[in-house]
Amino acid sequence: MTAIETAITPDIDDSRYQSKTLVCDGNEAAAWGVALARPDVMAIYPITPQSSLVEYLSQFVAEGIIDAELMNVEGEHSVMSALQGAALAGARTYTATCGPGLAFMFEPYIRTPGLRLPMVASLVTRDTLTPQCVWGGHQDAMLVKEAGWIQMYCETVQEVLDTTTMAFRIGEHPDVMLPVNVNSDGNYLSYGVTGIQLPAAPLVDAFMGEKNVNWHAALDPERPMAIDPLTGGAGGPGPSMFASYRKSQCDGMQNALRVIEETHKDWGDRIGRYYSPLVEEYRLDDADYALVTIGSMTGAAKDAVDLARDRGEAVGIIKIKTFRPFPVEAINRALSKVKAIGVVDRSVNFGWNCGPVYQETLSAAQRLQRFLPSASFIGGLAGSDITVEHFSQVIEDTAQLLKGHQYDEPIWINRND
Amino acid sequence: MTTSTKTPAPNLIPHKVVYPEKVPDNLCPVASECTTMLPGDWRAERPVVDREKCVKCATCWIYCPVQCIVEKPAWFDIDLDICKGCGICAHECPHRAITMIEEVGR
Repeated sequence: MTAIETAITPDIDDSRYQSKTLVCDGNEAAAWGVALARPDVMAIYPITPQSSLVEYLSQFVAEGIIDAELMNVEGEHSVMSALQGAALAGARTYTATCGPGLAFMFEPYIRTPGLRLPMVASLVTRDTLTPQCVWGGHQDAMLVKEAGWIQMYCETVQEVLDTTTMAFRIGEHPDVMLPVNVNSDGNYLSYGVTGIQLPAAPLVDAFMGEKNVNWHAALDPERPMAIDPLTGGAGGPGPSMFASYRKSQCDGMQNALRVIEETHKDWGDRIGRYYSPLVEEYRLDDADYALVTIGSMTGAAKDAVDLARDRGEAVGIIKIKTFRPFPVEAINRALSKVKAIGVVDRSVNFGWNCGPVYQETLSAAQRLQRFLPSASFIGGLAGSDITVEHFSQVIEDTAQLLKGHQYDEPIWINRND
Repeated sequence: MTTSTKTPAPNLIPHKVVYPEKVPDNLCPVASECTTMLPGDWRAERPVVDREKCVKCATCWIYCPVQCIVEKPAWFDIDLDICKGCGICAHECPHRAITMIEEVGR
């Protein structure tokens, strides 16, 4: 047995293929998800609330659970640059960051999708400065939603582990070839401790299959090539080549919708846990109206919806897991079941005076070709808690839409806490 | 939240991926041959090799970012159509055989 199998597999009879129960937080779960995917090179710089994830990875490397190079580079810009080189040399690569670290990483970060380098970077989401803050929020991830990375938001600690492993296979699919952000809410998922199941390593090895990340572009003396030459300008073949690369990137994103679904299905078949890969519908089939949620807030939203259902309210939840690419069809299937929506964001869209998920959801709903009354709720900024009580109020406010009420401005959830 | 769970029978059949026979030409931007773009006219200073000092150690050849070093029988020279005058070769040459001279009249 390899070191990871020894570490993961419980020492009871014939249990190589059984999962092991573990009590841990989301950062440790992410580290186990990385371990199961057997990366070759990790470069990572600590930043709150991701720091303990780095510590777990260091520990796993020291203990031989992860057989990878862990590079201690001097900052996030170098993290991403080093990983690009490693990926071009054929390595499966991983990093994690958030907030100001992601901001510092930005320049090489936006190049990775254009180089079509599969890679996984966990964003342990954190609100952005200023005001100075180190607590959770989705503003950092929302800032980079147009960078070309696939982005999936997790709801639970278990989902952090499972999605982190799946993300490698999704990004490396030849029809996708794009880097993936696995987003977990800072504080709530990063430090929230729960019992989870750690899948048996041999089963995950079979799920992952053969590793081949640089079949398309490589730093390899056997097949010399210049990576990323000047492309574009006016005249000559440049402009059409540039457009062709960009279109291919957009096509890869659209292909990812299919691959994300296939990969989640195969994970369920092999490991035993099924997730809604794009959009989850909760008590939606007979609902008159719905909340649209994203990330760990969904747990409290579900509790509030259960309580409202007990009172006879016909309310459900549409939870977005995959945010990039935006799952237009899946969300419209869900939206077509209801007459009004209240969208809850943990970040703001400065240009539209609403939440970004709200704006995106309405863009999709436009294709339904019918007016969908809606309200934008903004809460959970800088680590503030969106409680069941808050969601009960959100449900009450959203229900007003059915009576013809209109909201001209977003509703700020934690403002009167 | 998981939508459902079950315990499947252990499946050790490796997941298979089918790669395209030919790498698509619109995936990662790569070039396998030189472009016709010659940055020689960007130059403010040109490198000049002192043939007496050059020992053909190839340090300049290794460091040149645009691969403009040309091998001659007894020394290394510069292809001035390609050289953009960065001066790295002059800086790195262990024998101080390369000097940067200002371009004039261009």
